[in-house]
Amino acid sequence: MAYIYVPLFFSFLAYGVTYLMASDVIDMAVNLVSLISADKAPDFSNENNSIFVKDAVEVVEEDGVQTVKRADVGMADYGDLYAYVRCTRIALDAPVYYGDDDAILKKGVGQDFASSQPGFGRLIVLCAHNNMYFNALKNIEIGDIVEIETSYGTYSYEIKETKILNENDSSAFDYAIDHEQLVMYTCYPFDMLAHTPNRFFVYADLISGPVFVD
Amino acid sequence: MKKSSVRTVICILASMLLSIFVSVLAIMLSVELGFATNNSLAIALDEVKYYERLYEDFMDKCESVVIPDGLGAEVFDGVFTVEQLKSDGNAYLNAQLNSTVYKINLDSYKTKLTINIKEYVEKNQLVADGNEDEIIEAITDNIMDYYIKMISIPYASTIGSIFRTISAYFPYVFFAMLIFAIITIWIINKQNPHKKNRVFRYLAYAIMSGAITTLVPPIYCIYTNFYTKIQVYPGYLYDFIVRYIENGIRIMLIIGIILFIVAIAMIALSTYIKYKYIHVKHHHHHHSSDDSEA
Repeated sequence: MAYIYVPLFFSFLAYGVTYLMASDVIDMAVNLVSLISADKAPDFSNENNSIFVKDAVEVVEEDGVQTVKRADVGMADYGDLYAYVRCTRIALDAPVYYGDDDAILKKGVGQDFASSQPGFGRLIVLCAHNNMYFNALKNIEIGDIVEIETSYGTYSYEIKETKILNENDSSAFDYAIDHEQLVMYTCYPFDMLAHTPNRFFVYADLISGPVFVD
Repeated sequence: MKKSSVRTVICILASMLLSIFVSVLAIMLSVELGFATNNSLAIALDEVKYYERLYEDFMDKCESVVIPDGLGAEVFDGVFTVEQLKSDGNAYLNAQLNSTVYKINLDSYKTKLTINIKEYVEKNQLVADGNEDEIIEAITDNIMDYYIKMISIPYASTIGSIFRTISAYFPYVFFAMLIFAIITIWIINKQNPHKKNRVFRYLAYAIMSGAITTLVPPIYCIYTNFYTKIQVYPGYLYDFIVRYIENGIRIMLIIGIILFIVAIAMIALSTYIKYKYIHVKHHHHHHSSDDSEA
């Protein structure tokens, strides 16, 4: 037994003395590690989740009015692919991701995550690069119809207005707008070399789409 | 106080001191071999394919940088290669660790990128808002700055400075601990001139204690896995740090296990000598009894 408790006693003593002598340094190191640590290992899966499933939710049509159950409407998390935006006349057909960082804008159209999903009667703000998914916007005209297809139905919007504004112009859109409005924007002018300070804004109002019912 | 008790106290104290010297030796050796070498960093980088993954991330980020400038990913065709990035990265890391200057030759990258951008501009009929050459130079300079930023390992200069300090003190501390250890072994031996089993017993105490002291940190790390919970991004940098720590822990574990085996050998030797001594004494006593009876 002495071969166990004597070495253990020595080791405890050594650790005890070390801690007493260097407690400040040890505490600092422990605090430093805890500062950059969490409860679990970080998650590096950067594959964006797709929650878009065509015709996943039953849309009921009665007297020309489409309805979906509110409980069936899936809410997108940041980075989720949840819809497709289309305008046949200008050959616009792109996936819509919730969020608008660099990685998302390389894969499709990004949505300002402070704006709403279609069908909620609020502002929807979409953006994309002008040499990629929103290059087609250079041919858009007033009266064109843009569709957003989601898992809970397709929403149609009619283009009402286009504007060229500075990227910092806060009047470009209103988050508190009292009706459902789709705003799409991209860098302007098109086909330019180098970063441009202006943006091309397209405004469209909802003309049809499923209404939520409880 | 009896002479034998004084001897025991001296041996216990010498054994305790020896355990400290053995522990310091083992831990310093673990740190020097497992952590504080440029090679340990290089091995971890290689094992997690750091530069290959960095290249992919770099190309991805480069695309994100030039797309808002109206350009496409193809402007990078033939500009950067993973082999060249690896070579630049290793050379730059060595320079940072050794506190020397390594100037990456960016001229060939910049020339090729400039040619590609001009071709892209012409092919896609892009219009420059100002002097085209100046705009292209600003874009290429931006990418080159980004290249240097991406290939440098965070805090490499500080890590190199710590490595150099450890390496500078290591031989002196190692030699001093070795001398102190020899002195304490000599003291233990001197106190037990005729009972070698006791010498090995005190050595076993010290070495077993050294093994425990050396094994506790790596076992604690493996058991709690606390180092895997550090929030470091991107993924390849995280994998590199975790692998580097794991490789260092493994070295510490191996040294601790070697000490443990040596301690077990000492215990076995002590026990063997003790029983051999008892057997000889008993045999001798038996013979003496026979002689007296005769």
